[in-house]
Amino acid sequence: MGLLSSIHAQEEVKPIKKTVEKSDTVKVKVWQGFFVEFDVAPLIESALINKYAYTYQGNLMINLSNRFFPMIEMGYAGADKTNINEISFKTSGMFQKIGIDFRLLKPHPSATIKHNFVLGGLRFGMSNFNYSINNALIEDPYWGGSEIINENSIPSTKYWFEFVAGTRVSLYKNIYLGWNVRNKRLLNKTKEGEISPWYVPGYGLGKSPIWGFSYTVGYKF
Amino acid sequence: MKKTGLNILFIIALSVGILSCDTDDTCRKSRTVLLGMNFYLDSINSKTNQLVVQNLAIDSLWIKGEGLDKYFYSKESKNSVKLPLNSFAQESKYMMRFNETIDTVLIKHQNFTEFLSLECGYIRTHKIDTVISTNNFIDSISINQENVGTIYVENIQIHHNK
Repeated sequence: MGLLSSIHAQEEVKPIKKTVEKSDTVKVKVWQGFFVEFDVAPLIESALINKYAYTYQGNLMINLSNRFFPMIEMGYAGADKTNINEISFKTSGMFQKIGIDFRLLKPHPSATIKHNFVLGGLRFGMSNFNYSINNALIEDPYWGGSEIINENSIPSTKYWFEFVAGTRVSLYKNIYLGWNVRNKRLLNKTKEGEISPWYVPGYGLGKSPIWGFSYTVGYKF
Repeated sequence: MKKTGLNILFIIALSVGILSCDTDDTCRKSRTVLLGMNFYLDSINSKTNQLVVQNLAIDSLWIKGEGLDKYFYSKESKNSVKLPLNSFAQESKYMMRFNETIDTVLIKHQNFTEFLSLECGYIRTHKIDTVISTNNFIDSISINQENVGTIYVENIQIHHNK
């Protein structure tokens, strides 16, 4: 009887153990909603620093398990610049970027707001656009002679990578603010002497690498 | 991450962002396209009976484009010169005076328009096709490098026999 009762006792303990294990595991749903964001940094830049360029960019960022954030960034950008030698450059066009951010730091267990994120990630960008370079003067100071070169509607497609690091912070309920710094690198570089765009929509000045900064205002759905 | 850490990161990122907006109109590339020409003295070593080629310094060198008044070199002591080719013609003709002896050098070339950048604009580079000269001081002339660009190279060798 003593042996039998001990077997019964063991059988009874097992289901209790299982329930304890289940209650300890914190299950996070994969789908955690999505963010719709607008990048306000180019607006400030256009108003205060670089009045020749403009960018309107919107982002759609999906939150998976609060760890992975696939995203699409799209927009329209352009530039109209005349330099000190009176050479003018003009461009405008759409751009698209696709990429993913990863949560770099786990929220502290005692943190009251758990949906603030420190993120790092990658983007792949593309822009298909036309540009014009006008009033470029070539002179021969010794033999004499001059020519003004005007080139209009030069088609161009540029591809680039961006390494991104930044944050998303809950401001009020579902309103989020975010900023990130970006290191951008053009994939298709031009050969020496070949005409190339001074500004690439969505990328910025046509050098490589360059740095960029975004400041986003967004809403979480 | 603590708030102060994030604030510092934000300030760094903002600074990087502002610095990245900087556009400088200054052209930092060379826009000067000159043909490189070196002078050589050819002699025969009497002992070995072999050709010896040495750099030749001209004591008094005068060079100007034919039809032009302005001398590019005027009574200068040189063993090499850098000359501009005509950007708007297919040939450049020079009157060259070596001390008291005058020669004419005709360089036939193609011109190419190259874009440097918005800051620097366009330049004309050249490809030398043929070089012809009179033979008063010059004994032979040869093309060493046919492409004339912003980087200095020895394009043409002018040889004078001892």
